[in-house]
Amino acid sequence: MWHQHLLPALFPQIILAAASVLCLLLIAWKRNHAVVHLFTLLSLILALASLGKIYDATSVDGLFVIDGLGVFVEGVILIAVFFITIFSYPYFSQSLIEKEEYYVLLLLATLGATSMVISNHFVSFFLSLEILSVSLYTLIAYPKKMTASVEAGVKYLVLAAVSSAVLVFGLGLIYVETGQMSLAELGKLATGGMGADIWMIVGLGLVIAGLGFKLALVPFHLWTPDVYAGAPAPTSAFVATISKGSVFVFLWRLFDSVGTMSHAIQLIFVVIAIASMLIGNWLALLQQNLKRLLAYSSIANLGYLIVAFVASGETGLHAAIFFLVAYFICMLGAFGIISFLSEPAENGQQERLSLSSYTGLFWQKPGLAVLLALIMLSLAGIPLTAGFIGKFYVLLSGVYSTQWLLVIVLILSSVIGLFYYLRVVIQLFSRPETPVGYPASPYAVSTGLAFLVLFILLIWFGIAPGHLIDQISQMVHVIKG
Amino acid sequence: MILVWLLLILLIGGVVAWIFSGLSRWVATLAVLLDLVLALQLWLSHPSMPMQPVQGTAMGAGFTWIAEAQYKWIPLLGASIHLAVDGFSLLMIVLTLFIGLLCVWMSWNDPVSREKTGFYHFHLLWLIAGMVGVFMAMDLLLFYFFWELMLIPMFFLISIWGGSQRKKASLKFFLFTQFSGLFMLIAILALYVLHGRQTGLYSFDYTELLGTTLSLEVAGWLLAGFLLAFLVKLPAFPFHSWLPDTYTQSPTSGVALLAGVMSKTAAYGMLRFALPLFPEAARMFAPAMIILGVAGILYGAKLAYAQADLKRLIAFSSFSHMGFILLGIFSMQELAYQGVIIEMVAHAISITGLFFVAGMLQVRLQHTQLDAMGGFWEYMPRMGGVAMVFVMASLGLPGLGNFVAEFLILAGAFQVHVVWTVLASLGLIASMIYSLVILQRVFHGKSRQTLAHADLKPLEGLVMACLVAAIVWIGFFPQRIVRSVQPVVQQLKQMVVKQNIPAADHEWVWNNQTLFK
Repeated sequence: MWHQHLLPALFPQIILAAASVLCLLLIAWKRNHAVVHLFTLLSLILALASLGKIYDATSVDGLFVIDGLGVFVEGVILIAVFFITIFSYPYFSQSLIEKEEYYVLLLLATLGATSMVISNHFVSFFLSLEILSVSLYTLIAYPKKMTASVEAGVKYLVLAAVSSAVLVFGLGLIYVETGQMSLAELGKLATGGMGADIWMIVGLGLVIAGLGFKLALVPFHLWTPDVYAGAPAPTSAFVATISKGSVFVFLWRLFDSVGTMSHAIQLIFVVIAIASMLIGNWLALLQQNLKRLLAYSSIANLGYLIVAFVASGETGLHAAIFFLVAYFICMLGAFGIISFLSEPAENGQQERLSLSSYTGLFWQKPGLAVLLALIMLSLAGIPLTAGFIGKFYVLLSGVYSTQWLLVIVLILSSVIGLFYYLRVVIQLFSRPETPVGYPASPYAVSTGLAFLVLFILLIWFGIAPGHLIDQISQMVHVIKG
Repeated sequence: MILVWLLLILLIGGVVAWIFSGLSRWVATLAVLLDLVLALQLWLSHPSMPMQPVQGTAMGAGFTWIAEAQYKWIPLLGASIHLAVDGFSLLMIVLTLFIGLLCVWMSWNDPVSREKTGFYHFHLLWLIAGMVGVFMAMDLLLFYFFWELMLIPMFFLISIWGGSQRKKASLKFFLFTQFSGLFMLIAILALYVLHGRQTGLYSFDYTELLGTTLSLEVAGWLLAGFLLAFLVKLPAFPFHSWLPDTYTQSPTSGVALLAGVMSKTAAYGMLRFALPLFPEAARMFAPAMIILGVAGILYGAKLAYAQADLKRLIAFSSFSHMGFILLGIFSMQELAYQGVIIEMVAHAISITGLFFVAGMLQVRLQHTQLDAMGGFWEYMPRMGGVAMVFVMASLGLPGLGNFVAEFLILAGAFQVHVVWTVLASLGLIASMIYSLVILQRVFHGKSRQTLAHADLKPLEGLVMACLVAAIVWIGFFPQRIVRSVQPVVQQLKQMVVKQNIPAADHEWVWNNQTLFK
């Protein structure tokens, strides 16, 4: 079954796997933070470059599918990890713990995420999921002397393990019912008419629960705020963006192949989307901690994403992918700023968490404050930012498929959301009575450049989204209508 | 191309003003002045366009723009950067830039803007750019884009440079307008999808969408989405609860643009988009809208009279005048349309004048409480004189712009809605009362404090002189404005008033022509 000519299609994965081993060897040879950091960046660039080679390939036997959707999201993931790596360097350089292994785990997690988006089989999906999750357990608890991080890591470990078990059980039930584990084969069965058997429904339900946990959708969201708040900020960015984006792609692939969703399944998603949008935004209102606020905001945003998912079809997929890109930019920027403003403390980095500690950021660091304000406006879906076009696209897909209930809830919840995003913005620009001190970070150049790029992307995709939308529509297609 | 420049000059000027903070006042003046000259030149070179009535329903071809520009934006979704102006939009753009320029000058010495001056002018210029964009966007998505774009600088102007309650006020303002705007977005999207399904051509272009055939029920829902956004922004009764806080907490130049121009974007939106797109539905809604308009006139006047704060009083007087605009728009008469357009200009100028007076008093007194004022004529006779002009304008004295406008609106509305028009004209009496209160309580009576060197400074004098000249000019030569918007009014009449109603829909329409004649 091995096709040699399809080897280039897996170059990114091969490069990432090799890089993580080499990285370990590098550390064994000599511990040097800067070298390992640069090595990670280099291997990410290499993996990204190898993506260009595999544009027109279609499929690698049964396990993986190489299509535009997979390649596009792989690219987005690699770029996002590139940013996270840049943010990690100043964050860890000041702490006393061994920081080099962090990058090994980061590369491994990226390997898991990139292979998940091209998974076309239950086995390959589950393997990538476990590579991703196991790396994440450690990444979250990486500052091992910080109680909050260890607590977050253990919490994530226990809940993610349970959800994986649920997921596997669900996949097993589908296998029992159909005798197939390949999405392509499932797709063929579905076109032949697959009965809405009770075990199939239960199996899909369990899969939804398992994936819902990874995506932090209500009611599987309870871990999110604690993990976001406890994890080191660069890891939080990873959990918020890459781990969700990759799982979402598999969710799409799965239900794209299973075919037109039965009413029961569709109802489940409608309820999940509504609950996520409303509860996510509602609970975010009460937060005084920026990371927890972002956690609830990401729950709500994933709810918007599910609106595009329920809308389905070509428009839905394009909307979802565009929305994901905009969401990635926002989350990367927000957590990047949090990690940039953290200060070294005894056990690790002391992060600036409470909203009040951001009072008047504008008057001292105008650039950062403007970026953070734009990110908040983008998450709220205000024009000039990528988030506006993202939300507009999602709304368009909802209107297109006449999901009026979801569209109305989306509007109501985004107005609730606006309230807390604007509160952050006001905080940034208000004049504090006693000026809050901000540390001068020694590694400002690379981080500053990264912020600048995020800023430009945020505005560019907000004002002239034509290129990105064209690109998405050229590469990303649904397998069937 | 000139339209693109109008926007770019403001946008780039804003960024430059931010970077060179020390020179930002000059940069802002230069940018707005340059824009104003360009717009005026365009306006004057088209004194009166030949009347070209639009025939039939193929309205897309019937537009005669003075200037037009179209660029690709999101080709895949059928959205383009389609900018175009006719006499009406150009008039509004000139008005926006005129008031914008005066706002820049007015805040020249305003202590509020002394902190982060560059950033302040950045927001001011982008706010003006957003409003200019609203007046020239002929693509519905682009229109929504600019519509929302206006909010952000306004939000920052209030939340950074506003009064003591600025945080609450800015939040309230943003939430109200954004929430209502989202319903307009849904209506735009629904119209887009319906049009696409009918014709196979997915486009946000206004001229394309005009040809969509809609059932009355669907059109009603879509119009409701549009109207919600416009009624909140205007604001009309009962959507005005954001108004007093926002108007009082804004810095002076912010509130002048807010009350002077931003409220007019709502009236513009109704005339340009809501009515032509859904004429039958608009006729169905007209009685309700007229009731809201009249209620706004009377309720606003009553509230204005009851205020103890000068800025709140002016804010509610503005709210009351907006009722006339709503009444005029939905009476669907040619005379009333002319009146509405003149009122949009005249009210913008008179309300700007009043808010400037209030702003200047605030700088001198540090408050705007009416109870603590009185007898200021003695110390600032020139400001008192100027204030009197705008008070007179506001109460509708013949010879000043507002009189012509309100007279035309009432004359137009009287042809179809006698009872409501009579009630509305009671508002004129009420406006006399609350307007004179301003003069009486601020400038007349016994002075309680001495104010040295409090009269108009040269720059303030220049600003106020420009406003006075403008309001008198409109009062005496309204014909100039009427002529420049006449083709547009004709077009509106073609689209809205005289379109044949399908027989089955007759029962839906309150045909007032037969009701009262």
